[in-house]
Parts: sequence; C-alpha cells; structure tokens
Amino acid sequence: MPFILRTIRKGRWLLNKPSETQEECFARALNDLQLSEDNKLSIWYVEHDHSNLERLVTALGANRDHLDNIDYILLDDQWLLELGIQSERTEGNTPDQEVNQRWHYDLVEISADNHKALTKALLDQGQIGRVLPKQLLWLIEQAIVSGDIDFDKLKPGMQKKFPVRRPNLPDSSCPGRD
Amino acid sequence: MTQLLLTLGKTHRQKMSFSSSEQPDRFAYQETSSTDLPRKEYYESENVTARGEIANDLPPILGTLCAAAKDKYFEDGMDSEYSIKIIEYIEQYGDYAINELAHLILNEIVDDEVASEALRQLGHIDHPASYKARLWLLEKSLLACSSAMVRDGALLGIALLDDRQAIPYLKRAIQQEQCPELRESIEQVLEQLESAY
Repeated sequence: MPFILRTIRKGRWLLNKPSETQEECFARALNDLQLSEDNKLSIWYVEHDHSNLERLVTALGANRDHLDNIDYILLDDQWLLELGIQSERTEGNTPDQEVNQRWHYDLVEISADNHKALTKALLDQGQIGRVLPKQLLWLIEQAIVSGDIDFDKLKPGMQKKFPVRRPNLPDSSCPGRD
Repeated sequence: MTQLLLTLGKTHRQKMSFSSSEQPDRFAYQETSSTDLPRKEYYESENVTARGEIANDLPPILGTLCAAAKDKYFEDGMDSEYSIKIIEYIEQYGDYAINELAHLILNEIVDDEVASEALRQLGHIDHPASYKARLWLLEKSLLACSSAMVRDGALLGIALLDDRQAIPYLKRAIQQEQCPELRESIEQVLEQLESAY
C-alpha cells in the first residue's frame, strides 16, 4: 500500500514532558496540519516500496529559504479510506517538476472531525523520519547534477550552499546565516 | 591554551518580571587563558563580573523578542522575523547575547517552541567569535532542558555545527534520554559526527 507524506517538525510530535497529556501533544501536532481556507491539506504520495521517498524528500528539502533538516511523517493511505477522506491530484511546488506532477495531492473537504481523526491516526500510526541538513545538502547536490532539481528555482539562501554556481547569485537578504 | 569556564552565578540586573529575590540562577559562558587542557566546568558565585557575564549595557532585547515570538508557528528551513533578529543580535553582542539566551533557555523562562527555534539558529549562524559559547549552550541544553522539543532544537543546532567535540555530550545524552524517538535522533547525529572527516 502507498503512503501519504506530510512534512512536520518532529519536536512537536514528541511527548514533550513526562507530565504532558496526550491532548496537549495532540494540540501541538495539529499545528503541522493546518488546513487551507477551503479545508484542504497538501500531502504527497510515497510508493509502497518507498522508491520515490528519497527524491520526494530531497525536493521538499530544497524548497526552503535555507538548508535545514527535513522531518516528515508517513501514514498508510488505507487510513484515508477508513476515515472517508478524499484526495485529488494537484501540482506541487518544489524545484523538481516530476515530483510536482506525479506525487502531490490535496486532501479535500476535510471536516473538523476528520481533521482530528487524521491527526490521531498520524500520532498513533505514523512513522516519523528525519534527514539531517548535511545529508540533505548531498542529496540536493546530486539532484542538481542529475537534472532532477532546477538550480534556478532554488531560493538564494539555498543556492549559496552550492559554491560552484555562486557567481550568478544575488546576495542573500538573510544576515549571517552560514 | 584556551580554558572554558561555564559559570553559574547570580544576575546583577533586573530581568523579565522577576524581583531581585526571585531571580533564577544565572548561567554564563566564560573563556579564559590557561595552560591546562581545554575543559568545561561550572562554579557558583554571587559576584560574577568576569567576561562571559551579561553586560550591564546590553539592551534587554532577547527576553522581549522571545516573549513576542510565543505562539508563532516556525517551519524548518524558513526564515522568520524572530530567527533573523536572533542572528543579528548574536552577531552584534556575541558571547553576551549567548549568556542572555542561556539564562532564558536553561532556566526555562521562555516558551519551549521559541527556545527550540533559538537553539536551531545557533547552528546556522556564521559567527566564529561566538562559536564556542554557542556549542556550549547547545550541549548544555541537550543535557539539561526538561522539554523534549527544546532538546531536539539543541540537537539540530549541534548537527548543523557538525563538530566532533560534541561527541561525548551526545553519548551522554543517549544514555540519559527518556524519549525513545529523541534518543534515535541523537544516535543519528552521533553517527553523522563519528563519520565526519
């Protein structure tokens, strides 16, 4: 079965303190699943064998202001059927065009109850993964070389991490970031 | 040879909403010259005035900045007004700013999410003068903070610095970490540092 993927901040999904209740953890995790005004939630599909996971995470990690870790959560897409949540394919927004066209979906018409149920399923059944910045840098570099990622679509703070291409870059507006 | 002294003293300045009798302990980073091997230690003093203490003329911006950032939503890899100002402030005030931040984070005065975000930024800053103090605060926060979210922020700052000096602290953190998911993340960073160079 394929999986749905959503980027998160892992720290929000941990039991923060021994005294914390599941409800408090739930409320914090909801921050990573904010719906659009028309009750949609942007997600990505990962093949059952995870064959597109690395490419997908690389594209998502490249679509940032600057290099950082990327945290994500995976959930068996059977849960969407279980919860009665519909999805529709829409174009994504990363520097990898194939990723955008093949694997981006919106979950649509999400009710408040479904939103809570999906969050609970993710908390209870989701698998959290993390790619550290150093590894992500290498993955993005390889994706640029292979042509999967369009260097010109990277933001300036990300482009400056690749010194070979740096002469063409405008200055970053962010002060002092390494 | 450089010797690192990490001080735990009392502040001499009114901070946040504490009265003088309610002041929490002051953590501070201090660097002195010595012929000894580099080491880190803590001491307690009522009159810490050496380099490393918060400067009396340091504008109390960080506390205000952290308070204003409460309830903001931070995303990995995305700039925010808070992250940009934290970087600017540390570049301007160096170790003094780190000490101010240490006070706010180690005494758990600021919101966990805000503290976590600040610690991540310590790994992003390109400011050699404050490097040792930043590494110290990251190591200390990883080992001492009660919030898993804050410890995770410290861990990510350490991963960004990619400095093998942090290896002993990561090993200690693995031994004492109670949150299995966070322990796994610490092991991931340890593996990165051990395979470096």
